[in-house]
Amino acid sequence: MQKLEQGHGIEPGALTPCTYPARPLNGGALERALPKPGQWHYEPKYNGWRALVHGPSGTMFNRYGQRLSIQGEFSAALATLRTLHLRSGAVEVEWWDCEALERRHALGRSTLLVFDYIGGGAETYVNRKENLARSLPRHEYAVPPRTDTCYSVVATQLEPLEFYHRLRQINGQWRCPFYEGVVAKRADSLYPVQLRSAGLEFAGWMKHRWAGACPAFRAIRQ
Amino acid sequence: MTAKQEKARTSEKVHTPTTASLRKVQFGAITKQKPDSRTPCPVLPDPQRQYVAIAARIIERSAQAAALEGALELDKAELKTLATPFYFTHASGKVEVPSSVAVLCAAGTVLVTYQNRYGKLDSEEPLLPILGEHIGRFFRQGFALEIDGDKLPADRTQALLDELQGLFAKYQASEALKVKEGIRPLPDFHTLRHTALTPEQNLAVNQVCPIIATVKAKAHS
Repeated sequence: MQKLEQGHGIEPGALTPCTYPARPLNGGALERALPKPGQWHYEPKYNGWRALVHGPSGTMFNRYGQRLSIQGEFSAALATLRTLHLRSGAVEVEWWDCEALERRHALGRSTLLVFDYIGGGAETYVNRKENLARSLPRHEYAVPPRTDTCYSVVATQLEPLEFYHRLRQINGQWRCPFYEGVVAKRADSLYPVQLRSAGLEFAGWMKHRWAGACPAFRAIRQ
Repeated sequence: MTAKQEKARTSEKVHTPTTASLRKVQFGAITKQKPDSRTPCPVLPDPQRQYVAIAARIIERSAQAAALEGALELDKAELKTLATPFYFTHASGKVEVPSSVAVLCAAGTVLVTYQNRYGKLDSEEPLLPILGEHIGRFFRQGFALEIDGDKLPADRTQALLDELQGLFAKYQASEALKVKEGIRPLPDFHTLRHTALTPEQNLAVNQVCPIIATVKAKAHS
């Protein structure tokens, strides 16, 4: 295949994301959700900034593939990721899919919650979660996260609806919108690496927010 | 995080230059974006309590619709995943390939349609283990500067690009020039793939460069 030379005048060489972060389908409130085909696991949906992190360089990108301006506030968490050595297939993992906690509420400032990674192997969600949990301390959903820390996000063992309601209660106890609902993830799904569009939704993940947490409902209520 | 919130967030971080001799370009008649001057909405008077019921229904039905749309999208994705191996097997060796696979049920038919649309790949590397030295038969490099690279005369493209870079360099503006490049299927890939590749190869290519499929329902009247 013939390829054109870009020359020195054009600079695509700056670090660019390997993918847009996986974007879940919107499933509405969990109470109303219809049965899903296959086996699914449920994680908390955190109220933070989505961040795709390049571990070796400590570079953070938002879900549109743009550099995140808040990167400087995560130096301690990024330092943890930089020292993390996790293999995926034949390669060492360099890209981490995270939620960055800052400003939306007072809990866990400058902390990264790592819920996935983009590796070189064909690992299912379940495999990736096992690897992550071995590499980083888990965030226990009922305990407020520490600041300047790096946690792995684990799926719940509770019934999805019970978990969903429990997270909402925790928001009340902590007096802040720390959680937004849950994200359901299909057990056998591979991480969808794609650079076609930031808006492309991935059918292996589905978010269920509380009605009050949905922007559409906030717009209606305003 | 909405795009608007993200944008607002980003703008918070921009430092405003304070030098008195700030050099600015003039935009003449181009319309400038006005600052957000929204005022609080007035509340519609509802003495008969009619509108409150409608508002409640809208909220309730929006929630129902969100749940239903999510479930529908999941089912469509599931059907695409299940139908795609059959599509490649059935089309194998054929020049005239039906664009859809039909799934029949008592209530009607659901069509999974495989359009001649593919995403752009960042690199040819994932395709090399599947297509090897034949990759040039199926894929090409596509690129876009602010101009559409596909519409340039192929035999003079490199020369034009070199001149363009030279021009920007002359004005010390090389960093203003950005390129978006990628690997795209050739125009005849959509038909050629069924005769030139095995169903297994097509499935492997599909993992890397998925065909854009749509699902439509036709209920019995």
